[in-house]
Amino acid sequence: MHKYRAFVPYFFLFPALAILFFFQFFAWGWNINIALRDVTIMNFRRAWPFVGLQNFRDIFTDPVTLITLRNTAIFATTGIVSQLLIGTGIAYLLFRAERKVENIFRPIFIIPWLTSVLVASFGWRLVLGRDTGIVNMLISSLGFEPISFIGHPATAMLAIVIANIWRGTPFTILLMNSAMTSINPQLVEASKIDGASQWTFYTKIALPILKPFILMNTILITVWTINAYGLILNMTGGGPLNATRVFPLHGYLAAFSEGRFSFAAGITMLSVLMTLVLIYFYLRFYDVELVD
Amino acid sequence: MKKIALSLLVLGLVLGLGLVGFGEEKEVITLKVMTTPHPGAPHYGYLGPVGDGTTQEQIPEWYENSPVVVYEKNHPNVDIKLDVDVVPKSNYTKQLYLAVSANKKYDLVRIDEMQVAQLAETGYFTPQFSEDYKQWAEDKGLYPNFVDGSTYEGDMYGVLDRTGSRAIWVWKDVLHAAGYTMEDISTAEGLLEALPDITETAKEEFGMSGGLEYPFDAGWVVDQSWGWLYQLGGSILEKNEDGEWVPGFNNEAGVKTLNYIKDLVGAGATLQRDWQWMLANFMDRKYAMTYEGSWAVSAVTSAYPDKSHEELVDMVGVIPTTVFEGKDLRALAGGWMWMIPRAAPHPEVAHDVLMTMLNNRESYAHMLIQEGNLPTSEWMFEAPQYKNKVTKDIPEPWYEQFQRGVAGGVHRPSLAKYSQIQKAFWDATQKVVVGGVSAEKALDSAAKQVRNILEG
Repeated sequence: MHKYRAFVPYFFLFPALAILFFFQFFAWGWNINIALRDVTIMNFRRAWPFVGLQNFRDIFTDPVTLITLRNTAIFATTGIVSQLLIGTGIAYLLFRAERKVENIFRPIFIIPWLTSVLVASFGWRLVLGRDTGIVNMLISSLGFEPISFIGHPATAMLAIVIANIWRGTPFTILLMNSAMTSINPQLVEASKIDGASQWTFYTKIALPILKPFILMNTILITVWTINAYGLILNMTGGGPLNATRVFPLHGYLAAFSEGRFSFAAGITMLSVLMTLVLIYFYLRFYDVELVD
Repeated sequence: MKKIALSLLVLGLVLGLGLVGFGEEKEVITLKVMTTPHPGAPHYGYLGPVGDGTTQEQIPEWYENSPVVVYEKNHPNVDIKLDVDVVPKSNYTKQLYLAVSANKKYDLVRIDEMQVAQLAETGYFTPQFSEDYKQWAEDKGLYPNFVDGSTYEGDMYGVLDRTGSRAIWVWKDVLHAAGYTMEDISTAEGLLEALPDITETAKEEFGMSGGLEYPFDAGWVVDQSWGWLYQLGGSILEKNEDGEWVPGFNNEAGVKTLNYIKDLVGAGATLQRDWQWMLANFMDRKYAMTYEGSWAVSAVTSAYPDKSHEELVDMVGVIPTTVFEGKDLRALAGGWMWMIPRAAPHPEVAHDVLMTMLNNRESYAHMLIQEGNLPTSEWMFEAPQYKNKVTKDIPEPWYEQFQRGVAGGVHRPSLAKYSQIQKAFWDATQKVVVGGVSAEKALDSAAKQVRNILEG
């Protein structure tokens, strides 16, 4: 009996691993399989010819791909940086505020995060609409011509970035506020006794403590922002003139508007690869020992 | 006496049991249907009663003439149940693709004309009733563009039995205040010339947001452009000397079409990203004119239930689509049809129900009226069951305009890759109208893209 003891953990791990394998690795394997073949809605019910890397070649020679990569970079960078800065700023203000004030505002700030993507996107369409939007009502009341925010390439990106920041920032507020609350008050007292300035306290003591939280937050909002195509799909559909067509949305539309499944599978793989590379750089940049 | 009573009892039992035993039970057939919701037919798909039986109470006249009920009258031994999946339009293509890939066992699926070729190519739908549809089209005078639109590689996959006509709706008081008549704006050039004045009058005198709202929301917007392209002698695709499909828009007609839209915007047209709001905007008198469709008629008539036809016609005008001077009216006329999957559990019954509708003018007319759609054949346009009823709602000049729009329709090419071709032209349209690119350059690029798509 004793000699089988070493296998016991694996025995208990097996169901979880089996499920993980099926839902993760099998799905991934299937996606890779499709990406290396020519599968469209037209031949879905027939043979799928093996085409190797042809789909990836198609992705990079597609004139829209470069535009979508540029859009993704703008959307993700502005979204992630803004969420981090605004979210951390508000979290700090809540941290410094009296408990009563914090208790009132924290739930209010979380509301956008709890709002469904569909409701949020249609809400923003209504807010920014040319003829129905509250923003244009204000603009018109000031005597200016209404602006079609989601109707012009120059403003459409701004519109989706704002909507995404509005929806995503509460998570940073929640996480960073909790992280700040977890700082041991004795450390604050000790730093005061030792004569540390507020700047020194935050940069030399608080920031290193908060670093793992910032890292985790950055990773999560990166993943969510890069994959926030539902919001864009409902707000602009990727237009006008592909101005808001981000990389994953490019894949979604290729699959479910044009039936090009292999092309879309290739984009999915590249999107994940892109996210993994970003996470790798985050780990290097933050230099956090996660295991500790 | 006892014997007689006993004999009668036995006889009664035998007869009773015999009737029960030999009486034919109805065969219950469940038809599985996939369709989109429609304001006029939110749940029923207008094939027949669904669910809790409220259809009969809500629209008794239609109920009696619904295809399924008529079919049941003709086949007393059959009891048809409809099991309808109603999928929102925004999600419909995705659900269609999932149905195809999973080989779902629907009996009837409602298809947009622009997807007929692509879906026929999948092999999911059956062409087995093609000859019946061809015969029907010939007998009933289905307009040629709808025959072509229902056909893929020589087979008809159904009948495009309903359509809509693009139309410009106009508030005549604004038009007249600007000094113009309906006649003045019925040509492409006339509208362009009048638009700055109409826009100014709409804003200054009527406090409106603008003169004309033009849909600029998604790829389907090019449907409007196709009509102008065909009027000017261009086409979406054409066959070259080798019989291969090549782009038919990279020419003078294409350039003029895209520049016309750009000029409209320059003259004051508002590009509308929220097409869902266009009709509401028009009805709220936010715009003097809107590019909508024949289906908007119910919104106009129901907003003014107390007005007579003459009063409505005095208030609101309709133009099917603007026509370039010296050219004939051509407008894209798509439509919807029912297609039967190969995996359908009851293809024959599904087909018979469809033909019941197509051959029964009463039934067909009700479906068209409830959905606010237009027929696709002379036979139905002239059907008293349709015309007499519909002209009660649609004033005569409008009705005639719609019929002209449908009869002068063009269809999209029956190509499986149409959606990609449409996107290339839509990108070119956007480049010209909001991107500051010349029409020639944008169309060159779109044509190159389309060639790649066709070769790929």
